[in-house]
Amino acid sequence: MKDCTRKYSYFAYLEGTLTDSEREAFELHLLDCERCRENLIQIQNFLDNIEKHKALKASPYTFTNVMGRIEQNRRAEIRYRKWQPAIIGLVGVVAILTGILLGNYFFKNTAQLTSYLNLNETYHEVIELSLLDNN
Amino acid sequence: MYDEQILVKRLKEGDEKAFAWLIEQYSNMVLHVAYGFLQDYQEAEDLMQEVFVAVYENIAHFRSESNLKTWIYRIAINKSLNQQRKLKWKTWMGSIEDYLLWQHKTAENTTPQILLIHQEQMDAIEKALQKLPSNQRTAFILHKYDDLPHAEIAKIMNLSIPAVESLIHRAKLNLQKLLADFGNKKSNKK
Repeated sequence: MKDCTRKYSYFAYLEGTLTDSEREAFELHLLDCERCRENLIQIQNFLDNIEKHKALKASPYTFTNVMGRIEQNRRAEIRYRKWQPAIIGLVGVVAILTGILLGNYFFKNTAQLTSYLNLNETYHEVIELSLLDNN
Repeated sequence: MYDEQILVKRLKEGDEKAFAWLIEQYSNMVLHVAYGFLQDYQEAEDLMQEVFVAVYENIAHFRSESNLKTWIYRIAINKSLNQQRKLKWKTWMGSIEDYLLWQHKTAENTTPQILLIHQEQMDAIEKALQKLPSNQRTAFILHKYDDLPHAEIAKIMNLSIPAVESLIHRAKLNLQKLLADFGNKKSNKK
């Protein structure tokens, strides 16, 4: 199926920027191509929609609303700065406690491991002593 | 009426009258750009206010390398693109909500079929614009929604004029293909 969107520029036709010969050729084609007629309606709707929304106006309360937001941001900044030392302190305390707990955990495990090693050495010593006694 | 240098000086000093004047001059311009990207009036209005908050909070850093209008446009475009990314996954929910709100606001003699056709058209436009690459979308929106000349678009986007013309041309070709595809799908469903 021919893809007319690659051959014809609907925007250019609707914006009136085609040359006379291009416009005539496109209008002749439109007589035979229902798909192009439908596509043209789509693009026209699109452009009409844009024109409609160009008439959009900002609210007359924009300045008041913007200043309200700026004030809110300022208050949030002040609140954050007020609580910042407390938050940093709390994070520090949690970090120290975590360090102590982790260190305690690893220290206990290391101590147990060391005591197992001691038992093995003692076991060897007993055997040697007994050998010496027999002799 | 303010001279730009005097306006910038007054804004940096925190002059609220100068800021009110700035908002009056540029609010519609920013609203149109935001609407072009977001295709929703409430979101566009919200974003427009955010743009002016950003202008107020960052005016101290404005170095007059470009003019104030170009700087405001760039803030509007960046915020619009960021907001569009955030809304990407909520778009289909938003279109249902818009449909319900729009239904509530329309005239009493509007039939459900007309409402549906209108909503489908709005969805097609929104989807077609979102599918464009961001630089084509930006150039097209500035050209069509704000009627900016190519030279001004080139300054805002930091591109050459031929590059802007090429972006707009490709945006139009892509849009007509996307909108034609939407129209074809609709007629196939019939």
